[in-house]
Amino acid sequence: MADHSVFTFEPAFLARLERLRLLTRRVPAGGFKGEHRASHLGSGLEFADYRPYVEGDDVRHLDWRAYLRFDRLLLRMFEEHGDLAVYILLDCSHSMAPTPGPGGRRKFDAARRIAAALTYIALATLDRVTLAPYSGHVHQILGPLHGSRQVWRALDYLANLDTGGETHLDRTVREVFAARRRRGLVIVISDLLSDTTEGGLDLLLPLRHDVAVVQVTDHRDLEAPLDRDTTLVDSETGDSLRIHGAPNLLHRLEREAEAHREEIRARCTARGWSFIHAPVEASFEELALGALRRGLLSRGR
Amino acid sequence: MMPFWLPLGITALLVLAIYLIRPTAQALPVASTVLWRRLLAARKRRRDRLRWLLSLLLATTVAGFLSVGASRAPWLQPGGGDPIALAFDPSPTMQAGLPDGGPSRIELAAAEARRIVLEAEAGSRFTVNADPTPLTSTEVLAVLSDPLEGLSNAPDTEPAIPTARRVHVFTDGIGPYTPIVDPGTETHTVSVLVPARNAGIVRFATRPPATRVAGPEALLEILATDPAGGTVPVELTVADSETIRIRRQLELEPGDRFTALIDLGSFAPGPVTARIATPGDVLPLDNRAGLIDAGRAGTASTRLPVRHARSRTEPRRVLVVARSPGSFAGSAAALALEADASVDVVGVRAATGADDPPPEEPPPAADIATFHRTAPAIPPGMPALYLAPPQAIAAGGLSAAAEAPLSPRRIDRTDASHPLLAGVSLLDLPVVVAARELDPHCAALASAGDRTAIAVCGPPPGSGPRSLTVAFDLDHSSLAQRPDLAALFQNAAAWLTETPAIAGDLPADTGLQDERATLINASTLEPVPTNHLANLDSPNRRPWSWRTLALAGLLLASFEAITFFRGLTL
Repeated sequence: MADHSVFTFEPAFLARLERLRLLTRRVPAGGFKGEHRASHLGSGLEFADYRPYVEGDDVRHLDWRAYLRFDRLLLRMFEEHGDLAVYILLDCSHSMAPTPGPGGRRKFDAARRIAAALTYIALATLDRVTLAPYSGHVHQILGPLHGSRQVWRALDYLANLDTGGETHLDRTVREVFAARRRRGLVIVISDLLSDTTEGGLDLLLPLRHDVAVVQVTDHRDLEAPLDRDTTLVDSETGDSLRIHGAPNLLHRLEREAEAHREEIRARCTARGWSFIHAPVEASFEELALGALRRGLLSRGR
Repeated sequence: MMPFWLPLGITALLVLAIYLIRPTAQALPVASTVLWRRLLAARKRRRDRLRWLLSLLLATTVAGFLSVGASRAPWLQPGGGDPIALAFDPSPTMQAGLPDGGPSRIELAAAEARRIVLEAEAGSRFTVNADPTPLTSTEVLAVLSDPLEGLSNAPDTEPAIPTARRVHVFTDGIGPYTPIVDPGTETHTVSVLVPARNAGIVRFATRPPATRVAGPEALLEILATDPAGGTVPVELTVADSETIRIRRQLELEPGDRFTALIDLGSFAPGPVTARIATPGDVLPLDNRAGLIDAGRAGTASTRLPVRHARSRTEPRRVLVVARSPGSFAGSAAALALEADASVDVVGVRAATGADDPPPEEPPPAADIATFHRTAPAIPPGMPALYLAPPQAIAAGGLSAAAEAPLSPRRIDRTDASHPLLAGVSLLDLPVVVAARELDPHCAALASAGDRTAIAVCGPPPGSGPRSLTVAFDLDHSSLAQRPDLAALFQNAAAWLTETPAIAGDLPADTGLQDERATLINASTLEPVPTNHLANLDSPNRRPWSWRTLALAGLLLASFEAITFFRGLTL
């Protein structure tokens, strides 16, 4: 049953979203015309720069006025605009909603809201959006979507998603990009609580995509009654882990979670990727206009 | 010694029990255990480093234990030269217990030997008694662990000890134990003498007088010793095959010899057993004695050999009991006794009553009781010489002695090999009266036809005083005129007071021990120091034996392996 309540955004907030666009450093050539400035200069209308003429260049682009002034053959360069291929990989594994009920799905709901907002922004800026929910494997992929009219289709698709299974980001990356060669922006939205996270991110590196990793966290994952010996049962794998009560164990667990996050952040930074931490305790507006904007969005028009 | 697997088994059981009683853990579902595993891995890294350091320490300790233990292992040791000999006195007194219920002297000897073994140089070999087989310390400790079985079965009192570096002789100094050791060998005598109280039966034997027709009697002698010097209470019981016939409470002074004559006429046929019970008695071996009266049981008596004669310098004291003192005075016997320098007549008493009434108790100072023309109803508990007893009849067969002279008979058969007849010739000696019958326990030393002229009795089975019967009237014999009579009396005095065989020469079923065994404190050795007795119960084990060290190393290695490979937490 579709749950559209998670996508209820205030009109003012939507208006602020419409002024944003996804930030990327590399826009591949080709595709539909869009609002993203291409990484190369081409046949657009906006003058960009000069460059020396080399044999084989189109002589029509020579600036004869500059030749008269500087006695050098210079070629006029124009910026080219295109659309951005955006791949949103949404973690739908069991760890995103370990317990049933509204309270137990906070991470998954937050992840869907983020995916919905980014989809909204991308479609508003004429980017091509591919939604790929995954857990142990890729679920049915939606897209690529193009044009703002596809927003409702995307939101409806997101509202109908559910959680279950283990997380296999590596397998997901292989499946999604096996037949999708166009480079673009890959956005991974997950709690990253899986051993396959790092392997999956590593697989993205040779594909030369621009990558943004959004980690959704819930502080309740770091809480547990540890007054005596406890057997922890993994909600995804069913594996059990016996621990013995020790002072400051939860505090150390919190520090370990922070260390884990910083490791991934460092890895992303080293690769020129973006990393956004999205705790569910923060309001979504605060997140979208704060952390997301700092790492993933930029002011557009 | 504790088995090798026992501590391992106990440890395994403890570990299993602790593992089983661990409280069950609560199950808690979590979104993911990734962070928890990372946390535990971080803790594990710190713990692994500590474990590595502990492992290094433990491994070093294990290696140290094993190497030290292996260096003590006897199979890695060279021969070490000649073995150390351990010689244990096998005499019965070694089975005497210590006062206050302690172990026996042989067990004390084993404890002392264990101490010597444990303090010996590593790799030493040992021999036990006359067995030349060298044993390792482990093997000899195994032998010493059961001393009653392993050390008391060597009856040799003069064992030839094998060639040894040194010899340790464990003895209480009682009994003829003299091990033969190579000359020049270092010999240490370890005294295991612990003075204690003891009472024992030293003699229990039938003593049938030749002239007695009522039946045999038993002579019983009891000795007591007590280092405290107090009176020793003894409860005596004598029983036949059916019931206890005599029960009597005695109070003996240490060193006193209690003597009793027991009339066996009312006893049932078969074995007769005497038992004594004494508070604090430490040697049960001599608390029982038995005898089988050959005449009543229908079996032949065992003739006991005489091992050594008692040498004496004082004359034998003779008490003479005669039908009337006047009849003895001037008789051939009186003359012969007076002429014998080896005897000393200490008194002449009249027999009381005409029908063999019981005589007065002979004074203890007498060695031989001599009866002239009479015989007591109850033989005395001492050597006796019967001269012309009433049972003698005329040699003719029917006439009374008073009707002599009748046609004499001549002695035609003698046992010339008997010491009584050494230097005495009796053949063709005419006799006019001779014994009417001969006690079945007695043997004819000289006979005239079918009549016995001289009879020797005893000692019967079970030992007892001897007796000699001269069954013809010396005064009416030509023997009185010959020097052979003096020789006969001298031989008789010597033979009657000879010490009979004792101890091991007796049949086993009599239960009698050497008289010296009862006197368990009569030793020339110094008693065992008190502190040795106090340390007797302490574990006599090498504190760091190779086996202990190897076991400790094995336990540590097992613990290390379990914790390292299993990550076991209790």
